[in-house]
Formats: sequence, structure tokens, C-alpha cells
Amino acid sequence: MLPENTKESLTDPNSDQATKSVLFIFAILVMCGIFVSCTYTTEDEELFLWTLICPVITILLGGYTFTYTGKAHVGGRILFYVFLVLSAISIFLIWYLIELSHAYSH
Amino acid sequence: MKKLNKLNRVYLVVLILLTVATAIKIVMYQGWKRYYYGASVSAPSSYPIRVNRCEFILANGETAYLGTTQVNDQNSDWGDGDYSDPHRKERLPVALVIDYADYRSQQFYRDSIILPEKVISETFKNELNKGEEVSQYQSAPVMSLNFVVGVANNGNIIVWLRGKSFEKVLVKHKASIHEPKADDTWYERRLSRKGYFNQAFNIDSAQNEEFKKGFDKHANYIDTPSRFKTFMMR
Repeated sequence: MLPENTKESLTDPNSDQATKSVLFIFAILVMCGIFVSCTYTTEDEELFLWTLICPVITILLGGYTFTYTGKAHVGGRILFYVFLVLSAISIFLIWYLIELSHAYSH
Repeated sequence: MKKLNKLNRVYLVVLILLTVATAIKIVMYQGWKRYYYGASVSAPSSYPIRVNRCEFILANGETAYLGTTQVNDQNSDWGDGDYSDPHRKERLPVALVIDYADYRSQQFYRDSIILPEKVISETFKNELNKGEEVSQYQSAPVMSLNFVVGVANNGNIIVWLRGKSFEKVLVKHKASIHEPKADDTWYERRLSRKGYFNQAFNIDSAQNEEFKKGFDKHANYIDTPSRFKTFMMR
């Protein structure tokens, strides 16, 4: 089973590009971390920015999922759907918190 | 460099934009011009004041508030500091805006004072090591200097910059009197001028008697060394 898979990914013309894509995704995420933490941020700002990380990963993985459709990229697709759910949850939580905070306006 | 497909080109652009944004963020923040410092207002105990508004205008246009709890509770003495420990770096102040009521003369003063930028930045550059060590949450302690605004009698204002073992006079200024309007006499609700001085100040009748007898009448606090310089400098 394993050699078959490797063979398939080797013959896949996209495999080289796909590896680069994965590297790019990691580089972008690291850069996001640097962008957030390079200057002083309050705890609230930091929390808000980190909740946005799920949607960002989802968008990045979305590009990956819809570009590489071969069998070798099933892992990426699963990850994409996992993050789709996670970002839906985090967006809902942010929306819920913002709506909740309206109760404290006076 | 090998050819990148469309998706990877998009990723590359995003990565470059993020890098540029990070660089801009760092340059705009100007961390190398930021310092830890505290700031507060003080007044002689025999000339109580109530500060309505006191803030620094910083070099980047932001404002920073000065500690006024002690002075507004009539709990301060000439040159006492009441600063809370700084937990983040800020740009240095370029001007001071102050608006306060003086109990003894029953006057309202308001003014903006330009601070000597060069003296301040040079002091921070050269004498920060003589400052106060302030412990930080989950990180190493930092060195900090403190601004203290002294509000003397007759609308005289002095600004000191001090560390653990030195005190510098930055500026002396005579503030101008202004007539209170609308919410200037606000204390829990809008009051008359007389009502404001009766209610906003925490002064008992014995003290009031002494003031009426002219206690400390000829004092000229603007030229009096601060308590810090006399007793606390170490």
C-alpha cells in the first residue's frame, strides 16, 4: 500500500508544487505570528487576533484543496473541512461576544 | 527559481504583503523611542486642588493620563508621587494639558504647557540607569523614570522628572484662570460654583478654620523643594 501511494505522488505532476504550497502556508502562519507579536498588544487585541487564525488557515487550505484534487492530497482536504468547522465555531463565538457586549452599553 | 503555479504565486504575494505590513508596523511603533515611565499630580496639603483633567500629549499624538487619585482625595503633599507602575512602553510626552480647581482661592485654572522635549529625551537616554526598577508580570524588571506635576498656590505649576536618586525641574509655568462653564463644576451632578467647592473637596471644618485663619498664607510653593528632594531622595 505504502509504495503504491509514494509512486502515485511521485508521478503526480503537482506534487512538487503541492510541497511548496505547504511550505508557503507554514511561512504565512509564522509571519502572522510575527505580525501580531512584533509590537505591544493588549490581551484583548491578542485574543481577538488569535481567534482569527482559524479562518485564515481555512482560507489558505481552501486554495490548496481546490487546486490539488489527486488522491495524494486527501489529508489536506480533511484538514480543510476540520478547519472550516473550527472557523465557523470561532466566528460564531466572536459574533456572540460582540452581541453580548451590547448588553453592557449604557 | 522554478516556476510557481497560480496558487503558490498567490501565497507568495500574501507572504510579501505580510512582511511589508510587519515592517511598517515596527517602523510606525518606533519602539526605540519608547520608554517606561510613570506620571502623577501632586499639590501641597495646605493648598488642596481637584484635577478635572490632566493628560500628557505624546510625541505620536496619543494621550496618557496622569495619576490624580491621591491629589483629588486631598491626600497629597508637595512633590509626592502617586504613579502606578508602568507595564508598557510609551512615547515621551511633548505637552501637558491641565484643568483643575483650587480650593483656597476658589478659582478654576486651565492651561497647556509645552515640555522641553530635548531635555526629556536626553534624560531618558542617559540617566535611565538611575531610575526606579519596576517589576513586570512574567518578564524581567524594567527601569523607569517618573514625571510629577506639582500644582502650587496661585496657579503656579512645576514639572519634575525624577529617578531613584535625582530630580530635575523640567518647566515652571503660571496657569491662566478660566471661568467654569457647564460640566466644569460637575461632582456627581451639576453644581453651582460654591456647591462644587463644598462637595467635591474632602475638607473637614477644623481644616477649613485653619485655612480661614490664613494657614501657610505666605508660602510660595513653586520655589519650595519637593518632599522627594528633601526627604526621599536616596
